[in-house]
Amino acid sequence: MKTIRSWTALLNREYLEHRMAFIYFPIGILVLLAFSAASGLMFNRAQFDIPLGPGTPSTLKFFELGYLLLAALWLVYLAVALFFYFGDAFSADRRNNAMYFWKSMPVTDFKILMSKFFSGTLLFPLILFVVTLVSGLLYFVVINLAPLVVPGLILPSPVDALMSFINISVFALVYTALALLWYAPFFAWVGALSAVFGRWSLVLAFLVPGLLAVVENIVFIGHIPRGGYIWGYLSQRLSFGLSEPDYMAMLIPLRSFGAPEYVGRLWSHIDWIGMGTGVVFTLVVLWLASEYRRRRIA
Amino acid sequence: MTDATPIISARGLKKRFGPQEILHGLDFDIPAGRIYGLIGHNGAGKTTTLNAILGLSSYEGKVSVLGQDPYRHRARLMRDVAFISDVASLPRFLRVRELFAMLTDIHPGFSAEKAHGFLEGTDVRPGALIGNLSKGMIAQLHLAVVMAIDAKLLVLDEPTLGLDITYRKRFYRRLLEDYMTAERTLLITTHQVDEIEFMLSDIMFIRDGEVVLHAAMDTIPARFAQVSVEGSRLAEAQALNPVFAETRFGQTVMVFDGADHAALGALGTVSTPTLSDLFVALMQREPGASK
Repeated sequence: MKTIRSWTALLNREYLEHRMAFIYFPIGILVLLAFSAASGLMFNRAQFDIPLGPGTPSTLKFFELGYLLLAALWLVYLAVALFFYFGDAFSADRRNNAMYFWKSMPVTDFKILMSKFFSGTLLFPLILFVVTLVSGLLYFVVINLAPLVVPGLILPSPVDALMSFINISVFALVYTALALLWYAPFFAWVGALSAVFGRWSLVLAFLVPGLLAVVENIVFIGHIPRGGYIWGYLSQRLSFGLSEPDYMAMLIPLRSFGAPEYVGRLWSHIDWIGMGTGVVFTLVVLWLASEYRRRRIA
Repeated sequence: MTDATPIISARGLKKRFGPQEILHGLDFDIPAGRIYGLIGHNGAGKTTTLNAILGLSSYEGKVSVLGQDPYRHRARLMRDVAFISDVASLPRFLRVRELFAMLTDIHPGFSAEKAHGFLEGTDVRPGALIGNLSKGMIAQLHLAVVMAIDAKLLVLDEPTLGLDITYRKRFYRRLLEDYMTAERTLLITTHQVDEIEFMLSDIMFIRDGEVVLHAAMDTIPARFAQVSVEGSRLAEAQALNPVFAETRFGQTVMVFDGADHAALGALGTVSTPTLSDLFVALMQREPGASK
């Protein structure tokens, strides 16, 4: 019980320190988008050259594509915010000599860094997932008010809309979870560099592997595949997600979005051995960072 | 742990920063229930010694705190040890009440109720953002936090730095009256030695990484004597090997270690040196004065 309270307190501490980026900014963006949509609905009237009426596609597809786009945009926001979070959080305790305070707590350095890692890969993504859900609901409201701007639009039934909402939300959740697992080594790498070099980690995270790739190409020119092994491996580690045909399938007008189908497609694209080795790499890097932190107080 | 077992024990404690050796093999024991003053110049090795005791840095030699190796088991040790190494080190993004709530969940020995009690009479409010507090208020808050931890060992490194004299006196009084018990040990460093002299049970002087004096306060009057030597007795006084000699306004003052007090009485006015007198005597010995 005490262990759970301790973990909760450490996660809460990260939330309090970084709520600006993961709660206040997203809420601000949502409010801005909501006001923009409300203004558009109140002051605009759209004129279409094509006649609207029977035979016009349901707005369900507009809703699905719009919600998918919103989910993708929030995922991009999460990725960028996490990059900067890991570039700072692992060294943030050095500011104002706060390291002395945290070292006076009965908590190991490994636990502190793990709490930061879990905040980045669990807590903040969950918060942004809730923001994504709210975005979807707001967008649904906008879709339902769209006939005010475009008279004649056919609204989806509430049941169909709810099913689409659930399917897309589930897919977004699974996609985010697997993406975070896949990119966890990168975030751990940035965090570990941050533990040593502070915010320089944001540059070094790319500079170090880039430099190694260049050196490999110079030293072994003519004896290695084009681009080199390091660059080839990094390119493979950077690619994640559905293929282009999968994305095109989402655009088919008369097919509702089905989470099981797209989760299945995503699942089949994943290199699970690469995923496993990435997790091991992540744990090793976090442990090394915690050992560095254990030895350094200033 | 029995009463005879020291709460802190160091044997051959050395610390290097690169090629430079900062601590040169310290040996000392600190028993439980004492109030220790660790005193030395800037750069003498006080903070390095404290860091080793608290498990904040690696070292050579053997250190045991509450029966544990502090560097290997810092987190476990911190359940029974509270310390302040920098009074301004509290996390600034938290509000006071958030800090107390977090500490309640993280530290099994912390009492938010006690912390609030220690803050009574100060201007620190529960809703205040720590980053917005003045330096003095942050120090008050930090002191309230460590005093609200039920620890066996409390280590304070310059705890009252930046605080005004009123608060410093109040803090030391509360530390003695509300915090110290027979089971607790306090290790404190400060440059304002006169202010803590009344509360110390033991002192340890560190000079250039070596312990030059380690004694119980109640042994000081018997061991050390300060003599305002009469002008005609200077040669006799020098013959008794003072550890320090200084001329103040035409009057020669000497400090003796272990000299016969009866013999000293014949040389002039004998008194017991204050802690700051001893500090000056043992840390800034005049050239020519023998040890």
